[in-house]
Amino acid sequence: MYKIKDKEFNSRLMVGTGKYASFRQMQEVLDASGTEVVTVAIRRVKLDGAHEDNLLNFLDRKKYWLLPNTAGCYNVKDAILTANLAREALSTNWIKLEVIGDEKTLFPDNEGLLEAARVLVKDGFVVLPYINDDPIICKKLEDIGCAAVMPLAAPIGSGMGIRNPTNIQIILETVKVPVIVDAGVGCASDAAIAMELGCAAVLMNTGIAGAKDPIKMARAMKLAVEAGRFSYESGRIQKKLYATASSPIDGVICK
Amino acid sequence: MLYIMVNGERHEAAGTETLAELLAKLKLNAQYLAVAVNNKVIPKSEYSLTKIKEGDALEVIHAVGGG
Repeated sequence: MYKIKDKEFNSRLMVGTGKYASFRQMQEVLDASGTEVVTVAIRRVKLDGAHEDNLLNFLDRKKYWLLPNTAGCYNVKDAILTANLAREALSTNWIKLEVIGDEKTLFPDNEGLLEAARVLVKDGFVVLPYINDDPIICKKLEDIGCAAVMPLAAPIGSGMGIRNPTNIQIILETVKVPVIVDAGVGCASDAAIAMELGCAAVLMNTGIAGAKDPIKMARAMKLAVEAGRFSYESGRIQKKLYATASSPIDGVICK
Repeated sequence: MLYIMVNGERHEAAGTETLAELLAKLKLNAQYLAVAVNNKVIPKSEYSLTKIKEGDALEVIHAVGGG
């Protein structure tokens, strides 16, 4: 069990709701992942009169805690407006804050992120910022009052895994709020590494939705997150350069 | 008749229309929506009290799949 702000969660796997073949597949993925927190995006409704199935009809809010994001926002003003619209549409003051700096990398714009976080925290939002694996910015976001920090493992959707585990480690030693690795996780071992480092949780979307069998990958991620957390909690052995025999030396029959 | 912007598109509205009437005309179910008029979010309880004015810029959003 861990807490973000005052809310307790058992599952340490957070899952995005984008890129699935169907809402049905999304539901099966969420079920297989055991997640309790799912992210959603905020977009303009289509005005062409065509019937659109609403995502919210496929998400049981008693089962899943919704975490709307400000994905696609490239400036402070848009991110703040999107957060406010999300709060009204979904009746939640939680926001995964993204202020993107560049289309090609989707790396965060640190300056914009700090500014938007200040405004939203002051306005009563529970802010979970998506951020570079930069301990200094993470500390600033904690000082502003963010409820967690969400450093990227690698660029969004890249599946590159944790490119800089030592930075994640330094972030974990720098801030007291939960550290949630967000973005770039490609396979189960990536998720396990994040957990072994001591992160509170891992958030992913493409790593599951883009797999050949998303439902099986969701199950793999669930197990990896659990295994990684157990491994972290049990305290690993120190790495040594040379061998240490596992079997007793006494009583060996060799002369 | 007056002109407004809805999600970046130009729309016509009757002079006396409220936000609630405009959404109904656009066949949008208010249940899952949120609306901002000129960058200010309007609570659902105020849709029927909010008059549309010439030049208003509306954002009408909902939640979609995302990460």
